Amino acid sequence: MSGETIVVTGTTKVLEANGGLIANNSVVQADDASYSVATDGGGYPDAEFVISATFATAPTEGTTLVLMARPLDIDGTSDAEAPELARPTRFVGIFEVNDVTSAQYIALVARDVPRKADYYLGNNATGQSVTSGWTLKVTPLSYKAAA
Amino acid sequence: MNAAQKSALEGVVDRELTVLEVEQIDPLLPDRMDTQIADILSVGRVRTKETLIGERTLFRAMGMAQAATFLGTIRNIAAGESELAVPLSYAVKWLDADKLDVGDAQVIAQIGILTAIGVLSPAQASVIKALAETPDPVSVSAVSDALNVAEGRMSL
Repeated sequence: MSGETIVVTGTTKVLEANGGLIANNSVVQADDASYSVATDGGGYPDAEFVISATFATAPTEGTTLVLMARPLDIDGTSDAEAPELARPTRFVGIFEVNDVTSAQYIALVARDVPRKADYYLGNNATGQSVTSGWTLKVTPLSYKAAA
Repeated sequence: MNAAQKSALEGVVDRELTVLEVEQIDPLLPDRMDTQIADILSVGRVRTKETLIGERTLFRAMGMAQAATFLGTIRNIAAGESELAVPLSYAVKWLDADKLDVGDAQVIAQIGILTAIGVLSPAQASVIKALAETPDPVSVSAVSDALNVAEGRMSL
């Protein structure tokens, strides 16, 4: 059958390859790279974000790591404010954690991501620190009609 | 533990850290094991709450013999002419009504006076005051927030 809507994905970009420790109630930037819908995402409006994160001591089940964006170049070359847990600037989504000490791989799909942004990961009261070495990757996402 | 971290934790508990606490917390700081740090700071922390008691509570807490002696002594003082007579007469009245609040600061002060004049031993005074004590643990969030600020981390 042709013409039905199918998902298309772009090239995965690594926003953080070796993140620093994220203490409870703190925020750390994925500072290896920013993500631009136009130049990195091929214009695709949506994206799948995937983290790998480890806790040395198991966190509270069901608590979250918060993905936040800082839109860049929103007024000429001026950027939005850096996010804080209490004021996330642009809330993207949450990664709900498991109460384990093994590496967790968690994905979230975000719609209409900022045109260009830096991304930050917030430890939202999990009770434990995310150990250093976490990663954040983004894969552009869109839809098209099947041939 | 650097000075900023120590100051932050002392701000959470509103007192200086003991040498033992510093030794126990030091290895937990690099990996920010805040739950364990909060547990260490919570050891022995109590707060007093309103707790109404009567004679039966004292008998259970102190034992029959000690409670009976104590109650007899304060009733005698309350019936006498000393400067303790008036406050103890109220205490006796409230005990009879099962409404002596051993969490009240004024009552705790009277327990201190009775201990100083030998009506109560320090151990007996501790037993009575413990009736109004409840654990007051330090929250993990309070530890995390204080350390995040001290370490210059992005946070709240």
